[in-house]
Amino acid sequence: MPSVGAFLFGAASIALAVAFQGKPAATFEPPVRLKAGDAFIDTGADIAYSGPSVFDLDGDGKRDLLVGNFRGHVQVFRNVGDDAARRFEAKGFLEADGKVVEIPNW
Amino acid sequence: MLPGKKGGGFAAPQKLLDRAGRILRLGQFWNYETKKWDGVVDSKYAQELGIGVDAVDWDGDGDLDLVIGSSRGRLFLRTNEGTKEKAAFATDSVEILGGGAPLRIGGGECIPSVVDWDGDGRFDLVSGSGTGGVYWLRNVGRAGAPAFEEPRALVEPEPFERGTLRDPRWPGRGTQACVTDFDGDGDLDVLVGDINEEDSKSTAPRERHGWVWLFRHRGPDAKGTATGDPAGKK
Repeated sequence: MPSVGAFLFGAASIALAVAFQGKPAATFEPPVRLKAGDAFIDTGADIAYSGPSVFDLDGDGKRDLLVGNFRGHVQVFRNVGDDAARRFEAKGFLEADGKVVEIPNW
Repeated sequence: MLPGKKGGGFAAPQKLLDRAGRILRLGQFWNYETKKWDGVVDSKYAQELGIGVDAVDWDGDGDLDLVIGSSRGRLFLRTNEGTKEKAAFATDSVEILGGGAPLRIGGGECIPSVVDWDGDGRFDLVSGSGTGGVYWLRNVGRAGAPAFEEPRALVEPEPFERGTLRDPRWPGRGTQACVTDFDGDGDLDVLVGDINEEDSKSTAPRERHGWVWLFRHRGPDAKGTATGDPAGKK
């Protein structure tokens, strides 16, 4: 299987165990930041608060990445890999009826 | 809500309304149309800002109810008293309790998502936090009458090594979680969004980033399904 590390930054093999009352609630690989192309996905220009979600937006059978931000926009990252080894391509902001979606935050 | 369109894409965002025709909100909110705070006087939870929501059939009646998280870390239920085809949301929210006491996400800023993390067939809740980390609230209730344990950390807010602003090793604060089988290996991974800012007292613009982190699941402890995932049950 293609490695997730092929398109993610700094994948390592040490597991992290999060203990709760002596029993791990979860065991994960060390975290990595997702990229689109060569650039880290970053909502900092829109006041950050990245809110990720996955959804097959373009109906090609592969789940894409949508990331909300504080300004109320949703950045779209098309999955140009596959669901086992995702690679993302930035496609701008999500639109609805031809307009950029803006969901007020409060 | 962005209604999906036949053939793909979405229609323009719509405000969800309660059965009395009012904008569905938890407490006070900034009304972008009237440009003032609404709900300060007439809301039971006026001091709460509803900042996150997910949908699930909470009571087993076949329609989708709403789980709302607040800026202070509290959790609320807005019951759908209509049908699957025609929603009619209750006119007020009910706080979600655990063992008779309000459930709270430490650090505030509860943004809940619905997921069966432990694969026991009951939907659990997962939330990020204002101070970072990701928390799991295990459902130990029964179908139609969920009951949740206290939040426990899936991702610790304070790791062994956080790194620096430009070379981070761990999510920052204001975390938002998406549980999904990201790598297609059959178990649940966690995507974590965040905010990271330069620590400065200056009024000058600060360097700011909002990353998306992948916590790829390794152990045998999460075998559930992400009901918040469109490819999942919901």
